[in-house]
Amino acid sequence: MIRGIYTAAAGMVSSVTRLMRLTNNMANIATPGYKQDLSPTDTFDALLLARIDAQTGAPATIGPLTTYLVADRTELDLGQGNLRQTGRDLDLAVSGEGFFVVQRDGDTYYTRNGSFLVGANGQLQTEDGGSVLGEGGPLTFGPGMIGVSADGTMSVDGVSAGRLSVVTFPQGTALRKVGDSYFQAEGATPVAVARPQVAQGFLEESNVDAARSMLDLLATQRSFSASQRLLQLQDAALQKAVNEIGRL
Amino acid sequence: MSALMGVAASGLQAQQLRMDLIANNIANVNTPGFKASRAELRDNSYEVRTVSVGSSAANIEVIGEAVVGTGVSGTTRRLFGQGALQSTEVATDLAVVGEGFFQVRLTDGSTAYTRDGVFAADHEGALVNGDGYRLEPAIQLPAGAYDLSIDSLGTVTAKVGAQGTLTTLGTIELAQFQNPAGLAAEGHGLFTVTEVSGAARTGAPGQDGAGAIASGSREQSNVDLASELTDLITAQRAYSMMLKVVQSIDEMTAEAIAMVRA
Repeated sequence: MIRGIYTAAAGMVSSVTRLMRLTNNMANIATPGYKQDLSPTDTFDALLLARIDAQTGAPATIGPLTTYLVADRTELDLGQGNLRQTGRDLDLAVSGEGFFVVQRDGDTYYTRNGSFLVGANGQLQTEDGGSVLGEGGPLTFGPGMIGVSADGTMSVDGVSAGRLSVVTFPQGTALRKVGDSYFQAEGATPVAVARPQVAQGFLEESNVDAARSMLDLLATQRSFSASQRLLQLQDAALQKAVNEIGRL
Repeated sequence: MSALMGVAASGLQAQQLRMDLIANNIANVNTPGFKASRAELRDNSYEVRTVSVGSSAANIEVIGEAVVGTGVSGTTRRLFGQGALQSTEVATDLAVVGEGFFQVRLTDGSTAYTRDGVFAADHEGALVNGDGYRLEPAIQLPAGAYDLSIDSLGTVTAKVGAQGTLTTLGTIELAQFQNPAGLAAEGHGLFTVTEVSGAARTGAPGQDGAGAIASGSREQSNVDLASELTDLITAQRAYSMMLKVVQSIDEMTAEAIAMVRA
């Protein structure tokens, strides 16, 4: 009986976690390079229920029972966002595989948000002042028109000025979002993308699917309500057990 | 639940910022030399919440990590793309074709930078912009000067005196910045230098990356009305969807509270 209450409560907690991810996805629906979080729900490790075997007197397994539902994993949807034309020289987008590499305060980050600018020191930078790395470290530009070819080679007034570093990670690497459009990959070694596809004058839009998010929102709210009703039913049943059956 | 409302509020604010900037861009679609702005949105930091089980403090086992985001924040970025040129046939209407800003001297003696090159002579014969600030370096028209002309390299000439002698009155210089997006907007189409923009690099038009001067033209605003209107629609839709999320959070909170009373 009490176990049922906990199962219903776990359902409610899990719905709130899903709602949190949904809210954050919806808040970032217009954030360039944003990748949505999916919320897979897992059943808690099946708990074994045992009974006493009538013949031998020893406990025997009758099967698994799930008592917990936890949204304990984050699944990052790295699917491509739409490329939107902006016409700005330093708006860059990666089409297909790969991340831009950014160094800030000694840490290395990866991003799909290519809204860059040339800082006061002449270096290619992100909005928050991180240096965008080329194949040989930070990229520095003098005055002139900056061009970027599809393979990431940069030029100033037609004169080559280094190549953008576009990297990917081995299959199965856990990428983690850390905010400011950055990702981190702890302990993983990035691999240069052999043929990157960089589009100049474009930004990659957020890959949050508005219609699906609204559906998920409805489903989450209904599942929360259902768990809540379930909890109340369990509570009512418990009340009967305590107050009515227990009364002599 | 209240933390959740904060995340939702950040989403509303981000869309609000987009709508505010779009409104300002559209309002200035006919302002000469106006440069459009856009919102730069970025996701906020993430919180890692561990899910753990255990009967006592000694044997707690972490069975999962729930990573939850904390919303979005936005800043404004000005876009310094070239605006289209509009011919006016007034010699002192100037436009920069390419990089570079005109320099004007403010009343406090400091210098401001502008792309709005609509100048005229004031009562003392000095070239001033629409707000009466003097062009720098100053160009002084002698009394009775006529047939004023300004070439693409910024050289100002006019016929002076009874004989109509062709006289060079000065050269207009342009200022360039390493990072124009870092300039501070002061209103009236004026910008001032900041640490982020880097120091001004002044020089003659048409040299060292500076654009040429087109006399008899105004640079129109670089606002693209069609894309602003599309953005406005998407921002409004995103705002409405965010409101739905707020409503859901509210309803779920109400349900959770109602449970206690039952």
